[in-house]
Amino acid sequence: MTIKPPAIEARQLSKTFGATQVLAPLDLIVPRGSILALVGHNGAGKTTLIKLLLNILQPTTGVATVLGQSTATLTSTAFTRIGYISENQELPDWMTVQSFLDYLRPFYPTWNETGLLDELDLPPNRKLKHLSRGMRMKAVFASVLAFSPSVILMDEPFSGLDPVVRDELIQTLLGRIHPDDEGADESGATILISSHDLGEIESFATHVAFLHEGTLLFAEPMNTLITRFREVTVTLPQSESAEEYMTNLPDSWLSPESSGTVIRFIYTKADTEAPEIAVRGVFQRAEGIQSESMTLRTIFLALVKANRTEDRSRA
Amino acid sequence: MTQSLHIFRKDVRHLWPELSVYALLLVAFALVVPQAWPGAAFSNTLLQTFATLLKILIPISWLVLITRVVHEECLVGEEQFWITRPYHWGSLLGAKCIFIVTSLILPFVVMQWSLLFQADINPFVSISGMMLCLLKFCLIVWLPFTLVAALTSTLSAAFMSLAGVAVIWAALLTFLFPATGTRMSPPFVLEIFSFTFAILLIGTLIYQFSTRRTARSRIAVAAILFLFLILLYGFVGTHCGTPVRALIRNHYPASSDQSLRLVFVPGPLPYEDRNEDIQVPRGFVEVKLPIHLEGLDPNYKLRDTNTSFVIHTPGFLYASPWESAAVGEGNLSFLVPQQVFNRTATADAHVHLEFLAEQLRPKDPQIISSNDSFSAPNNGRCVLTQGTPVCRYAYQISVPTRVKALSNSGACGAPESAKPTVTIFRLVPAGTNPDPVVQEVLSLGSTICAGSPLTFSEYSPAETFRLELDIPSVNIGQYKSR
Amino acid sequence: MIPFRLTARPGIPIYEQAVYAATRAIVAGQLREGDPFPSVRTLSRELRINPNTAHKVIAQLLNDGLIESHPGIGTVVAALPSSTAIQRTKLLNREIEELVVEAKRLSIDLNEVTSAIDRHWKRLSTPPQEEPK
Repeated sequence: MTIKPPAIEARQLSKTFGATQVLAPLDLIVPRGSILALVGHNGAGKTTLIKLLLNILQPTTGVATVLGQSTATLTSTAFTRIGYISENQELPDWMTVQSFLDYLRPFYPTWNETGLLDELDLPPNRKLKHLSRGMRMKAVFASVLAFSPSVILMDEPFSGLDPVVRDELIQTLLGRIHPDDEGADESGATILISSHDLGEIESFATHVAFLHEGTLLFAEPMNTLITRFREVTVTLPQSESAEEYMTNLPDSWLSPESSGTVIRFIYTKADTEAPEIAVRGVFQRAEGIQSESMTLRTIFLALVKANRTEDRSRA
Repeated sequence: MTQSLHIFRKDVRHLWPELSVYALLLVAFALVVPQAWPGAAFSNTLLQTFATLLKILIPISWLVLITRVVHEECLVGEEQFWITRPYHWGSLLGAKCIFIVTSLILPFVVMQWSLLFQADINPFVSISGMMLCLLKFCLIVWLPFTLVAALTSTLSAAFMSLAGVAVIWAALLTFLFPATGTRMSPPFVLEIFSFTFAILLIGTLIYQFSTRRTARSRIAVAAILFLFLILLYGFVGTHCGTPVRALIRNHYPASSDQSLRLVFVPGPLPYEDRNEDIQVPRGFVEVKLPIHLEGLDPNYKLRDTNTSFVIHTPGFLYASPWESAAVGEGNLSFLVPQQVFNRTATADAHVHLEFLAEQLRPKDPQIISSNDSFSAPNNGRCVLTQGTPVCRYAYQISVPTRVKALSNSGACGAPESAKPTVTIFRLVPAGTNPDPVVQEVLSLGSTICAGSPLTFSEYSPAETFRLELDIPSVNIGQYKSR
Repeated sequence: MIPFRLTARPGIPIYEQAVYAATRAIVAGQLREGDPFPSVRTLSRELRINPNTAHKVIAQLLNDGLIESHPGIGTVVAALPSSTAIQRTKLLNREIEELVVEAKRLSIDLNEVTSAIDRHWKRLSTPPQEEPK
């Protein structure tokens, strides 16, 4: 049995525009069938990364492959299995929804649009330029899901959409990426999605990659991330003051705050060592230790704040 | 191929309004232009203006059509819908070419045929003329338009780039190279130049379509234009003088005919009435030397007369490039740079002169009776309007022809003094005129009546020759004509 | 429609939440024996989870014996399997003990615990089928 290459692989991929390095050299592997959430603040480099993977931009250093093929030489055939959904992509606005799909159909050998327009509730005979923002994005989804791509790259697909449309799109997407045959060896489509709707993608993403100011801080399975991040609140005895301890905390404890006898921080190693044990090691006389799990959104906020403080202190 | 046709069909479906207007334009052109021909039945200035307007609108509509079709799948930018779809660049380029050929060129050619039919000429008599005309349009108009469209993302950007480049180009040519008109270009150099630049432009077009590296492609176009300028400068500034001269000398062998020679007859020149009024470019002086060309058959004519000379005075030497020379009755005139003239006009100089030309041998003359509409040799078609014959040809006049007629000074019918008059029409190469009908108005003095005979003498190229003349001592200052 | 939902609970893997929700629906009778169980695609769509997770959920439920695979028909809800002695001991001794310890730690008395157990038991029970007379 041949081991298939990962769906997406990047090695020391970087991009510099003129004097600005927009993306620092990064390594990334996206396994087949996974759904990677690409998370980062605005301007962190998410769009640049996606465009590099599609050969819309050429890398300054490094290489990337998609479905085993180098991105520098992505052929037209490769695009019969790669889909791209972006909030900014232009469309032939003069075409109607149906004529757009009809136009694209001969390009793809695996086209199947049965029920797609009905499921998305799209008017087939309305021109693309007359569609609302949400419907327009639905039309783009339809035009990509119809050919069952093996890899889908999505750049802020839900940006500016109301929750109903977002939900409909997620439903349609999840309902179409798994191969029909239940017992098939084939893994489903691989998805790389950059989005700010962290609450929604948390439920279906399998992996997370975090970009900050052009640097990839980490990329790991969602379960690991959720497991290892915990918000810890330590209550010290009345006699002690939390202030004194603030400067001696381990570096891996992020964004520590204190008030009176209470210290709160983000603990990032809960997968290897239980937070209670780590806390006991530092605060032998702690009276109360509470550890709360965090959602993807709260993890993201904590990381951005922690990194911003670090950037500022370094500058 | 199927992908190309699929894209082409989509383009036609989207651009049918523009195509309809273009078709209308062509129809209007085919109807209006014949009314503005010399010798047309009803003509007025309004019609002439309309015809001129249409002549301008046709290239503009080409720019619009080509730009619009190429911008359907725009090559510039990062957000076009098609760059992440399975488009093969070859099919895309093919689709645009199919569109340009079938929706732009083909209707244009049909319109040209319609004009030829209206002039009573069969369009297929001059296939070479038609091909040459289309080739010129391709190289000068359609290919550059397509390239500009491939390097821009909006119609206004395409228009402005094209206008900008055209204006700068024309300005450079006018001010940097004022004397190019009189220079002789070596044989085939025009063909090689055109071929080379066509290949380079096509190469850039293919590069842009296959890689969409717009910045690099734009640099490539700038480099090609710069290269063109450099080569032109080298040619004009005689930096490539030696190979150019050698090429020309090679093509024109030294005359083997002993009787053919140049003779210098010193003395003042008789005044000569000039037919043409050639403008002397700034910085140049025209010199007319009393040099006779002897030994030439009086029936023969000359074509492509050029000369190259060396002026030698103590302390100063000037070797000219090959430039055009005019042969008159017992004289030979050519241009000399102002500074050279000032240096050498003061005293006697030693002049060594080379002269070359192509001989034209007259074929047997044909006598044709003029009529309201009659055929002329070389597939021409002539009409007689108000006493003046106008002859029309398809795409080009490839053979110089001399026409002799007996013209009446008064009205027709009266057997008055019929004196012979002559006119000559020269070569007209296939050019970039949307109107393919080349008009030649035969100004034979006064009225030609229906039925009076016209003698057409065609000239065919005979041998080329080169002659040398050495004038040990002459004061050029005496022979300045303008 | 799927008769169970995921309650978004941070910290608990989605897969576990889904298995629990499905199990609860089956024991409560919302999914009866013989009812078709949703496919991977449908689970993924309706619960907004990725298909791999849906696949794992179904695999776990098959393993637990709560659903079974019939060739040609797909997966259907199975009859509740009888428990093994080991499973019964685990629940009645260890897990119940943990509950008691936790309740005592929080100073909850026995009455509150038993009435809570009673309440949940009733909520998750199917009313007895009306026998046709």
